Amino acid sequence: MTPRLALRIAFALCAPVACSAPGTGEAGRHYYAGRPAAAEQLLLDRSARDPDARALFANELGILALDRRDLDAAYQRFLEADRIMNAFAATDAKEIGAIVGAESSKVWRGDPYEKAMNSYYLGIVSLLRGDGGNALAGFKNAVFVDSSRDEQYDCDFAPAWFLEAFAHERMGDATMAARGRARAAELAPACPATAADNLGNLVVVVDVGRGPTKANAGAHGEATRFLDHPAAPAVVDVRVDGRSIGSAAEAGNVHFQATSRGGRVFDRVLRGKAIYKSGARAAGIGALLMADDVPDKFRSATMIGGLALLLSSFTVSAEADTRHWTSLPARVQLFRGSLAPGEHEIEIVPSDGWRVAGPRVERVSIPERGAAFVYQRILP
Amino acid sequence: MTHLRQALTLLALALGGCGTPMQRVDPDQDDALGGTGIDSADLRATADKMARSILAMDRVFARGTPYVVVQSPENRTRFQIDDSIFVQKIITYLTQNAAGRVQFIDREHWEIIQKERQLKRSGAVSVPVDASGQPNLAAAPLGTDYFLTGVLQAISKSTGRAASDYVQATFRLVDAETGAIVWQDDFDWKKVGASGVIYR
Repeated sequence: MTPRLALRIAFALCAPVACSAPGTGEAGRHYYAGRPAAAEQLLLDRSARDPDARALFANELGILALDRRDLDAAYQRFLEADRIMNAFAATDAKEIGAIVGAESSKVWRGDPYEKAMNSYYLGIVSLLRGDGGNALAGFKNAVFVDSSRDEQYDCDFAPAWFLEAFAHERMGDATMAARGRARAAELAPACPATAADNLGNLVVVVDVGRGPTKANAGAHGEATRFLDHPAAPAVVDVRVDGRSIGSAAEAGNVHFQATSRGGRVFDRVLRGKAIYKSGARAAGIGALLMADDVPDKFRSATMIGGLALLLSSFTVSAEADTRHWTSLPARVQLFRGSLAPGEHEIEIVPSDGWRVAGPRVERVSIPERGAAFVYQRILP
Repeated sequence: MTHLRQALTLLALALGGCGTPMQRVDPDQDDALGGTGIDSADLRATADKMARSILAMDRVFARGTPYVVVQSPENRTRFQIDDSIFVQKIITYLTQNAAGRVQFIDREHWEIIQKERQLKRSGAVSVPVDASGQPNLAAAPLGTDYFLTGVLQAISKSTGRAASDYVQATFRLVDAETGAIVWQDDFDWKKVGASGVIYR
């Protein structure tokens, strides 16, 4: 082989390689285009073929089940994901493979914000099922996983605090409820639902829009960035028996949650791999360019060395894992108001042509004591 | 080349052997799946300790066979739990070990019990008879002497890379007439887990 041919091979190796995009992006596109059945079919088909992303598929399927109010199925999906996301697996061949090869070959356990949202949904579904204990556990864990990291961060997701307080209220623990409400009010002072003196007997949670999209950044895709989709309707009206009683207001920003947790330890590994890739590629090309100029007896060794460096540069993957939960909302809005005890029809009506993903009208029984709970998802 | 083929074959076999689709394991042992949540070993140890502790409490049996309604424990941990599983396990252990010294009352199925009583009395279904051939109809459903209640609480800590959870399961027998707590015991455990480097 001549150095010229070796160089041609080298440039072919260095050409950008089309990668298959693992994850649930396509199902997400169906979901936001108003085709939940197509999204579900795709997720079911792919989940059978990709057991490493089982928790991701389960979360996406959980959202679809929640939207159609199949609460038992939704709970089971989110619980399945919870079990995987919160396990501390021992280092195994998969982990080693993800360090040496592509990060996306690892079992998907989600980022901290996705773990918090999984727990948030376990709480939401448990509230809708009337399971106070597990609702409290869900919101408690949402607060827990959003806190931590060497105690530098306290949970700053107001809806988790607000709903933890609401779950405490339902279990008759006024002290803990007041503590949670105070923290929610501190974090989302502009949201009237979190006001300390707002103890209305109707609590409404509205998940709004499309959650953050995770994408690669950096020369070798070794970093990640989150794209925000901040679009929201101007007003999300809460109507009771056909009459407006107020509107929901923003209390939580999921994009902010995704981007405010600092870097990962594994990012350093990916940065190191990216540096190696660049270095090995440059050194390999340099060696092949020099091969013509070195004495004959060293020429073969220089070419082999150059090709080996290029090959290693090509095979080492520095790309960060961008699989992410696509059907999360962008924002969480809350409403809390008072109604006369008895049966009511509650309707969440977004402006600007937005639509609701769940049932248009919910029939709710407002108790003599305590509060009723309504959940809705709205989509563009 | 032959050596390379042999090495690749061995590697493929070794990797293939890593997967274990299903195996039975001892429910009293920790599994290798990680996590600091509540698992079968915690449930069984808790139920066993509570059952033994109740049976050792003479005061509960001083007035003869106690009638007990068991209520699901309150979950105040961060873990999703089917709380009825604790109830079922405690009842099973007590039933197995008490040799009829404790009578449990089912309140979970109150509605279908009421319906069955009505059906029997209306003649829509037959009425079982006792040993002397008389209709076996109770005047009223059983009232209880005690409520067996419980609560699961936890202290959870995390650094983001590792977490620890101390969980305490407390159960008590409450006199259904006076509200007096006649017995209380607990079982606790602590677990620590850390993420592998690729999840940090």
